[in-house]
Amino acid sequence: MQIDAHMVAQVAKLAHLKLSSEEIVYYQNHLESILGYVQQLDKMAQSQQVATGESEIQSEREDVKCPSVGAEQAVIQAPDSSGTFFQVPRIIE
Amino acid sequence: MSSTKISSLSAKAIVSGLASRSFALDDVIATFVERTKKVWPVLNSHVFFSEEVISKQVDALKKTSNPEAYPLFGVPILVKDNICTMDMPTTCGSKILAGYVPQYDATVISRLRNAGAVIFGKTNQDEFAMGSSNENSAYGPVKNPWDLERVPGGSSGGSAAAVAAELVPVALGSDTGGSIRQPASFCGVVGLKPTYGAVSRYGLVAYGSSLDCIGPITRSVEDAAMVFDVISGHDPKDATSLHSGSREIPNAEAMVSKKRIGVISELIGTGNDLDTIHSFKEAVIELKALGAVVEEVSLPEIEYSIAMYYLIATAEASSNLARFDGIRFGHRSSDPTQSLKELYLNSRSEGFGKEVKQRIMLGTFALSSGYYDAYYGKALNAREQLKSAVKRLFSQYDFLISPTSPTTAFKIGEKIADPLSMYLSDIGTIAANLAGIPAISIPCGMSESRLPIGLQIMAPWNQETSLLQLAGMYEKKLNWSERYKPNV
Repeated sequence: MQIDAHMVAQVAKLAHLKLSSEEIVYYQNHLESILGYVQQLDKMAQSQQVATGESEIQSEREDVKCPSVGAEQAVIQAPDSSGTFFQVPRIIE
Repeated sequence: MSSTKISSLSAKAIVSGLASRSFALDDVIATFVERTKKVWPVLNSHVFFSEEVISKQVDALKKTSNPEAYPLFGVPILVKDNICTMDMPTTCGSKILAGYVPQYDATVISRLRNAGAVIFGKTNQDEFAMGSSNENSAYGPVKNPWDLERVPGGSSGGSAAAVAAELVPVALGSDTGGSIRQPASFCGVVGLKPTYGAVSRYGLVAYGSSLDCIGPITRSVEDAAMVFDVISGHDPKDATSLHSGSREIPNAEAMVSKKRIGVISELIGTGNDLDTIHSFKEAVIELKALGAVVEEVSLPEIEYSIAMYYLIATAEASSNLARFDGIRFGHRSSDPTQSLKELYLNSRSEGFGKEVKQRIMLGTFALSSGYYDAYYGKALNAREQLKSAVKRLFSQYDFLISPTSPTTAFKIGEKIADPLSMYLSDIGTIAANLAGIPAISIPCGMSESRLPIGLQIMAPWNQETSLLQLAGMYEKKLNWSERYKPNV
């Protein structure tokens, strides 16, 4: 699969990453090579089996309310906080 | 007992030596502290080590009235840096989490502490467990104690190198595509990847959630079994945790005799180096001598396992790593004029390393509209086929074996510029993660250039007991760790 610089920039935008022009060239080459490799999956006959990604030996957990860390604890590691709130740049002028 | 002898002891021997008062807890701790201070800077195996934090744990242990009740009493254990510890930072080998100290212990850490273990520090790793050489750490590469110019493997490279160099008898690693077994193979130690869900993932910083497993790295199978026993079991905090049954230990001799072992023919081909194939063939002879029936089997789906893995793991990673945004924890870009959106972009771009960005983008691409079915959907379908094929093989065979890695440890810098060649070195280990089965790597030989070679044994879901029994029998016969030691 051919990957161009525009496509790398588009994927980076979706992934919330900012790339320099050198990085775009770097990832363009690498992604093209990796995506070329993974296309070998086309050679595998696709089964009709529904692929859910779920395990046969796991069962789903009941949805039960449990205690968690409080708001005071939750903000301790935040780079910026105010009381029990995470501080972010102003979004409304 | 001299400090050199104590540092060579297994976890089991430390527990029994303390119980019989052959040596004191202070002797054990002082020995491993001194050895760590001497060797850690040579290997770059640690990202956190604090005598003060160790002392606090030891003081608490000394207050216990019945040490015999603690199965790992006084055993120093290192922990990979992607497992949360509330008294030590947890950085995942990344700049984006520099200095981050979690508010809670991972379930495995609580279980180790409750069993009397001393958490001895945090080990270096590939950033967010993404790598096979430990060269992707923001804190520098780890060196292999057998040859300081070579990689220890990855991503749990610091854990494997530290155990091989006798800085501790036990370390925890995590395994998403071989990250416990491949470094264990490169460093000449034992690495167990349990059944998916057998050990709680609560407090393990997620990479590929449907593949991630925590497991022990040790110098003996017996120690791996001891630690697995402590850390495994159902945990309501992990939605994928298994309700496991009892693990009664069968008679080992009887267990191996007449067992059917399949050699995966696709993993013993031309991609392996000659020393690896030679040692693997010797291992097959030993297993036959133990009474097992060993024959070649075909698992053609395994040839596609790397392609499946690098779509599924990266897709999950792209979602899991979205939480690192500079708001709740970790690095925040310092530009005071930036908007909220720029803050996200700048914090992530400054904090993540090259390989992590690459995998996030690969996963984002595989999940994006227009490509989902052709990439991620196809990989999920192929994974189901691989699982079915593995299940069919286990209806005829008790175990499957292969070399853990096609080669011995490669040189630092040898593969870092070509990610695809690095990814291909994981061909032997990825299938066990995709299928969710348990697998172990144990030393089985030495190359001509004196580098360790690992044998991988895989067992059906939840069959850790018989897996450890077979590995233990083989280890006893080979006596590898008594014959070889790194000179570090």
